[in-house]
Amino acid sequence: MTKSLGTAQLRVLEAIAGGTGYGFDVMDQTGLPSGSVYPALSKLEKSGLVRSRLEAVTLARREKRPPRRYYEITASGREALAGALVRARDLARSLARAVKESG
Amino acid sequence: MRRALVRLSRRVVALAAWLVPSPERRRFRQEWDAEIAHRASTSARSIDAVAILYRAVGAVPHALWVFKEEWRWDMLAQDFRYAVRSLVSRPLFVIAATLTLAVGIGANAALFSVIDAVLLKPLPYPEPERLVSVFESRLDLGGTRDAPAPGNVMDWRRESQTLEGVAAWWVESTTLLGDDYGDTEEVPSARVTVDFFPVLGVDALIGRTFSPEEVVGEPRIAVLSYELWQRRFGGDDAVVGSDVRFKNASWRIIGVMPRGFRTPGTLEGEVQLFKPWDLEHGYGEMPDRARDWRFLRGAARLAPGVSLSDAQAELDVIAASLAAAHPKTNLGWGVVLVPLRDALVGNTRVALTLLLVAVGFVLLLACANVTSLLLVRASGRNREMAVRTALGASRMRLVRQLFLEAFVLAALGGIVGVALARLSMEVLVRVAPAGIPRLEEVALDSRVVLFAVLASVAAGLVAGIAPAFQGSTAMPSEALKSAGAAVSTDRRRQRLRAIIVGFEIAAAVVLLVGSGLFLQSFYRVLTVELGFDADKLLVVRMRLDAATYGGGGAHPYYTRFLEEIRALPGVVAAGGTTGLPMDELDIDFDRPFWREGEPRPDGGGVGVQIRMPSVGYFEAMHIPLLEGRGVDIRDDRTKPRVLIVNETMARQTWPGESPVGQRLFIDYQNYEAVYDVVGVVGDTRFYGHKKAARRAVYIPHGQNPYLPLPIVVRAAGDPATLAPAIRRTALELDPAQPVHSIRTMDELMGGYLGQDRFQAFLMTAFAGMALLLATIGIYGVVAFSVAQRRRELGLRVALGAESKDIARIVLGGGFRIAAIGVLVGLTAALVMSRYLESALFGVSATDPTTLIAAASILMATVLVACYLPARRATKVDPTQTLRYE
Repeated sequence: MTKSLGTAQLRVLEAIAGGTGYGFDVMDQTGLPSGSVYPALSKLEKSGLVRSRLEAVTLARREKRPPRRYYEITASGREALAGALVRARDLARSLARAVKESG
Repeated sequence: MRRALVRLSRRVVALAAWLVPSPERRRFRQEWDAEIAHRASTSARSIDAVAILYRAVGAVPHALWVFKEEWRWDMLAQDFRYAVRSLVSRPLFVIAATLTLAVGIGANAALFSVIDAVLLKPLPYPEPERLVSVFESRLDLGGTRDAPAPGNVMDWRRESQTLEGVAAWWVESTTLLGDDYGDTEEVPSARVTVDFFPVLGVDALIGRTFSPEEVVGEPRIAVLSYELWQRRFGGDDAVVGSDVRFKNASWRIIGVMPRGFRTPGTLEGEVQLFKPWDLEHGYGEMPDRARDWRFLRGAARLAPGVSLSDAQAELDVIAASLAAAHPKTNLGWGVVLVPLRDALVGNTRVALTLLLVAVGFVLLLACANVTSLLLVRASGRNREMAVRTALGASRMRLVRQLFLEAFVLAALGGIVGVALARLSMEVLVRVAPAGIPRLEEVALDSRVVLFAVLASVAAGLVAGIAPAFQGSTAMPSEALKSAGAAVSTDRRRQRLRAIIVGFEIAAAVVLLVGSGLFLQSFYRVLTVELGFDADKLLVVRMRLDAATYGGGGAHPYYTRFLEEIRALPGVVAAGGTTGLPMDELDIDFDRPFWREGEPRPDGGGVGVQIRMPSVGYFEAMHIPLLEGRGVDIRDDRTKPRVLIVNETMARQTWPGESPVGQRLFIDYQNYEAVYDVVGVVGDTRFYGHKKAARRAVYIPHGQNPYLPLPIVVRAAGDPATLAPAIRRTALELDPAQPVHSIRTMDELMGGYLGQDRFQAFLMTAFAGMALLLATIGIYGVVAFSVAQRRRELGLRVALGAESKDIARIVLGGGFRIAAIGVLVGLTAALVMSRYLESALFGVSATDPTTLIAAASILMATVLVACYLPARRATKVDPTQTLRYE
């Protein structure tokens, strides 16, 4: 039973599902403040919805910089995303009904 | 540029990493550094570097989030228990540190309570920021603050849209005749215009204040103050609506003001009684409606939504139109609005701020000493810290725990400090006499306690920061060796302590200079030539009843009264005058004048102060008679008008010639009078010690018998002992005419000296504290250094060094620090001198004597502080110290 994710975590998860794996790139894509992306990533990782690994050391060494950390979505992460989609659809439907009924 | 930004970004991340607990820190830094490095390498534009920095700032909230996630409350509790335990094991140290901090925090809290009451707390009226003081201003003198005149007040009130009411009042006194409630007494009272209570915005507690219709015609109704109601009328509700006898008429009491209601600006005893005043009724019929009788006190309230500058602009226009319409009285006069609080306390602001800076230094010194103590302790705990580090404690953990120790000490110091503050506040309020406005509002309230808490927190931070970081850097391998201290860290700590002591000395020098300057300033004020001999003088104030003594009856009364007084034992001389120097409550006014043969000056111009002395006044005051004659007993209304001028008047009006025998015209509104000048007397300072004498003329009281006439009595011994006899004499003369008040001249002058004395006293107290703390600091450093160097000194003695060589080594170290500290301190004092100028009188802020004296005192203190350690050093026995190798 996955509990509902916060907006930040959802957006980050969405970005990672789309293939964006590095921290700063996620910041670019989601447009979230830089101070909240890493906490979101941390929470997602703790919940098992994403996993991370360091990139290949040789690549980093060639460019003379420390290796970056790459995030990718897990199976449970995909499930959570799907579940969020379902909930969003339900919400959209009931909202549309409410708008129609209130004229 | 781009590289600098990237470097800055990495530094931000490094700083943020400090907050991250050590298990997480490596990963934290790696992620951020990697991302920054990658971004930096893929783009060469500066604007991207800015974007990187912008991103990097996000490391801080991230670090804070991690910190919050990893925070364990029980760890904090554990650290706290540890801190308390380690402090308890060293009670002497705790007492020393606590007392040191208590002195610093206590002094700060006490001074803050004064500053809060005088400067910070809003005035006790609703929306006090909309209250302004109203003054008339001489435009050609660059803007002065002169009292408003009735005619002008009435016009401003009528014409102004931006002011929601213009009030005026005048403080005098009223006699309450003896009745069921109490004996005959005189109380300070005020006549207030219709806008007075609405402008101040305070309603009566019981009953009501004056309504506009009631004020017209000045009926005999009055409002009591809370204090008078309680003291004389026993808080009896029935007083409201009943009649009370003042002097020769019954007045109806219609209301009582709430407790703590204050009339703005009364320094000499709170007003106890309020009577209605209709300016129209009193002055409407006078020529020019008394537009140039400038003696009132005025205040107004800004209308809602109106700013001070709006109101000022409007009043400027109104004043200009008045000047055009009434050039005789108003030409060259403007209006100035000053926020009420500034008008009341503005001139204390500089002094109080300086004192706050000084007391802040004292707290810094206290923190410095505690830091020093903690650093010494740190050296003794190298092994403990090393063990803990080896067992896995992160640096942050150790730092946090050491900080906690400092905070516990600061908390203890704060508690003791608040108690000390409470004590010293009592002393302060007693020592600071009239002269500091609103001092009666000083109290140890929640604001002061909050300030003390903040000061304690700050003290904990400042005192703890160096030891916390220094104390947690023991290198485990070195410290765990059994051969004792880790030498390099200890040396670093000693150097740190020496630097700290250097700063302490600098701060002490600054405070000593400040103290010296304030003391000198006060001395100059005290010894300024007043023009009269203020010793052993008693001031007796009488306010004769108009019904009984009006129409000239005052002259025979006072003549008789003075004769009776002179006959009393212990009285050397007696005389009276209106316009007594240093007497705030008195009538003082000036009138336009011109020499015979000259045309009348336009627009009022500079006036001459008019005083009315009785026979014997100049003699009683020891004011020298320079030319001609003084007041003669025969000068009365039947004789031609004469007057005596003071030196300044003589010099400025008749330069180069003698005024005696000349004639002077004075304009009194409804008539002009011409006088023969018959004498010249020395100048006296009237408005306190600092204001120079102005032009004044003395018109014999017999020729102009004013009802109120302050009397001075010169006593052979203590003037206060004459008071009962004088009171008796007055009542024997006329049982319905008691003395209004009796004070010694010293008391009157105390009001003017108050502020300077207060400044000098406090600054010296702070300088003394600073000196003491700095001395303790130096002693600590030098003594410790000697203890550390026992082996070296023992070696020297063994190799033939004599006592004086050893002493020189020890003293040399101390003096070196001191010399640098003194230089820094003197420089700082010179830099700050600009801010001191306005608070000083008669002495320059860069007075070289003071600077040299401060430096000398400090060097002498250093000598004293180093004496014991030096002596101990010379007693070092090489056989003892060289034994353990």
